[in-house]
Amino acid sequence: MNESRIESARSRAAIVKRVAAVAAGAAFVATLLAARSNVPSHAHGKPRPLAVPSGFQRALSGSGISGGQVAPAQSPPSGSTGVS
Amino acid sequence: MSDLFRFRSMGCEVLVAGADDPQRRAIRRLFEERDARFSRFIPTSELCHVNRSAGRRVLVSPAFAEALYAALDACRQTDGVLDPTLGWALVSAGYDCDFEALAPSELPPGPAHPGRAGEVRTYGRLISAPPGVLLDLNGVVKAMAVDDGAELLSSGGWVSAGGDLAIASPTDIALPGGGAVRLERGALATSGSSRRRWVRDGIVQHHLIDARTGRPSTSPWEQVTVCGSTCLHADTGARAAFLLGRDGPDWLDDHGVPGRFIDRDGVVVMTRLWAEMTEGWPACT
Repeated sequence: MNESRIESARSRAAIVKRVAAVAAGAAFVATLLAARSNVPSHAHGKPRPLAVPSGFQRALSGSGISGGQVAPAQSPPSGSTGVS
Repeated sequence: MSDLFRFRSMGCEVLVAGADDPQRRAIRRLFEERDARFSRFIPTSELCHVNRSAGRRVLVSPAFAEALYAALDACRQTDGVLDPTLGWALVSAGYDCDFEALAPSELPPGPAHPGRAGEVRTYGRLISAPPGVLLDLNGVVKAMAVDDGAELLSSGGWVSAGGDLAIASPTDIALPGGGAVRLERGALATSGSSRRRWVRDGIVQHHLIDARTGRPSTSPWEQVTVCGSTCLHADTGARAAFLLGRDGPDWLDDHGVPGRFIDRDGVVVMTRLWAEMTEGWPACT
């Protein structure tokens, strides 16, 4: 009789432990998801870097302006520049 | 000159030499796309959207970010002489619509708006301009379009827009104010106050704004022509050298960039490099 009551109590305790463990895990996951979706400092999805424009290199590579090359004219001009 | 292709974009005439039909179409489309994105006078342009968002962070397109970074880089390279935040200064001076539509006005110029480029914040493609700032990227956008247009030419030729010209092969170029040079490599840009000028309350205004005063520059130069490795560099050099006034030639020499200046009396001043390249000996200083 006593042994049966002890077994029964152990069984109930094991169930309660399992339920408590599952509930704690579920609460943890729920809190994690809620934090990810509501707290601005948490990523909502997989982090994706802002695309860097391909031409950034052109704008940033030069540490200063650089000169081209002119020479004395060799023939009547075929082009002209205006003024802007 | 018979194979020239002409069209209007960005408030100026664009000339293309040496292009076949697909290249002509591509270059025209390139300019039209840039104009639609960067015009101060097209309400649907991305520039107008960004300007309406002053004071807030806004995510811009890669093309817009590229132009803004180029403009801020030019600002840094010139110690703030070139400034992309002078839109209101232009509006105050009266440049508030397409240049072709500008008419003399008896209204006095509005208040001065010095440059505020140091207050523009960038985080990749997220940008933030302070309230009350109107970006104007016209200078760098036109130069970059000329550079990109010339890159589309596969068998020589050149692209010119306003005062900017880039080549795909060595070409003899007539210069404003007389004379000609052979452009072996890179690009030419000419900036000056003789073309885009208008009258406000009897006072002549022009589009080259001094970022320190927020008013049209009182530079002694009529025009400055600079040869850069790209049109962007040439345009940066020409505008900065114009705005630096009498210090312009020395500034170009310090940067190893050839340039030619013409003052209001028609006197021509060449930088040391320009004189060496075009005449074979150093200029008298």
